[in-house]
Amino acid sequence: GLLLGLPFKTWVIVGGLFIISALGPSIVALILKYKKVI
Amino acid sequence: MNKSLVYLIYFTFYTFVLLWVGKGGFKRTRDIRDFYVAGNSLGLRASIFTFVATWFSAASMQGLTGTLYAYGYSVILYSVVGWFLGAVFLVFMSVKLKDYDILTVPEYFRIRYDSRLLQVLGGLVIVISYILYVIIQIRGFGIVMSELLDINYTLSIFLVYLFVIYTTFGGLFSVARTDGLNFILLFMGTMIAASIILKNIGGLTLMNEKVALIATKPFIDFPYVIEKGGLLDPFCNGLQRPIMVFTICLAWGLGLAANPQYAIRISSAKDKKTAIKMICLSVLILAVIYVGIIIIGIGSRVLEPALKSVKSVDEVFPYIINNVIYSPLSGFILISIAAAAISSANSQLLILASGFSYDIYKNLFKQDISEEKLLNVNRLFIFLAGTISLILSINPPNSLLIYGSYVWAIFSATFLLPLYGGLYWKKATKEGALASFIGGLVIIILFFIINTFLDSWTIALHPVLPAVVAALILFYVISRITYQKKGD
Repeated sequence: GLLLGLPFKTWVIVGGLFIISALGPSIVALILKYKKVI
Repeated sequence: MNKSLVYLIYFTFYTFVLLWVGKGGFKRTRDIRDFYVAGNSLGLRASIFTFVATWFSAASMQGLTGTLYAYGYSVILYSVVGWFLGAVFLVFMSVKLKDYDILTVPEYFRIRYDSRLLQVLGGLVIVISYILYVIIQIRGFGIVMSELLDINYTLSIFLVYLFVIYTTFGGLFSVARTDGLNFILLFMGTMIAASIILKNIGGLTLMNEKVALIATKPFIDFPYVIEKGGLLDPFCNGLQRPIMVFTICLAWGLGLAANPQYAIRISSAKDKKTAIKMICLSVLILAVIYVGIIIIGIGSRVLEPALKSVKSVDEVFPYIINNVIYSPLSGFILISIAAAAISSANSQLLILASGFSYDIYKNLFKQDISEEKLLNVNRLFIFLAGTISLILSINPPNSLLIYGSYVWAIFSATFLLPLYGGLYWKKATKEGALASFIGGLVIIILFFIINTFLDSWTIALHPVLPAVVAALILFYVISRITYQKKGD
């Protein structure tokens, strides 16, 4: 399951957490905006 | 043109531009509010520049690249992921903190909990923690300057006076202006270095395929043997236990969430909307930079699987740029590495000065001190604290990335609960905040002592976990008891 030479397990754990955490502040800000907190 | 001359031209040009840009900040600083929080007037662009440049320090530029070089992809889990998750907390902080008119985080403690003692304790923790943390920046700066100017490390760290202390003297306006320059440099330097490394290897897929075959020790006295494929494994083939990875991630993440250097950037943004946009956009920009850093760290291992003359992970990146893939742009990249250290050190020295001058000296001894005198006390303390950090940097810690997590853990143990608990829980009391602050500090010091006798990977637990749990229990229980008593 290599993609760009990286094993599937690394993509899911390292890549997945990297992308989710990088988007974390934006997602939280959008939720707060939707809930009219900000 | 020979290498030394090219480097000297880069160094001289950068020095003049940095000092000229920093000088502009002096003119705009009229009072202590300008000095600490740039008059709460920074727009979105300036806020992003100073946020990213302060965040992206020698721990990222040198500590992370070198640790990636040695341990592979597993490092991302307990560094970058933790930092980004900590930034989620900052969004919640922005929502409430902008309602307070504060110049420092310990001042928030005094206003929220009506406690001068908590402000003094906060100032004290800031002074000690940042003196220890600025060592990271001076260490990173010293390594790159000794490569750049071909002088020994001890001599090179004295250049800190020229760059860091001067730019800090102008206050946050001066720091923010130089952060703009340093942001552009560190972004371009990282991207150029990653591109050169990828070009030398032949692409991303080839880089990962080649690193999977490496099983040599990265340095002569490296204590572990990582088998083939280990550098691609999320937990380094079992070398890095999930519980330890999780607790280091926690130390960095919660430490970032409770860190005064980000609270001050939230406070210096012109309004709440700007502060929240600053955090979201900065983290996205940082994600792009960290992709470059990952390529530099992993790619360097492919280009040079073992470095015999390198003694610590923090020396890897400058060494590779200067010796393995030298090009006419190497001088620019080395300057960008120094820029990452300088842009974090001046922000940290500024907060350090406020911790002593405003939260301790003015608060305890001289409440009627004039603005001008207070500014001078700040500048004197910047010089003194910078000198202490400089002396301590002569015998630096081994790994900037792990050392940094220990310093950030102090903020997790002391600031986190009183700060967020005070913002989001009406029943939080002065007694609860004090118990949490002191209890967290005692527990973290206790575990630091235990860890000096035992290898932290052996006991598989970062001191931050027991300290934050103790601080949380104390904060909740004592606040409940004292809040009820006040109600009765």
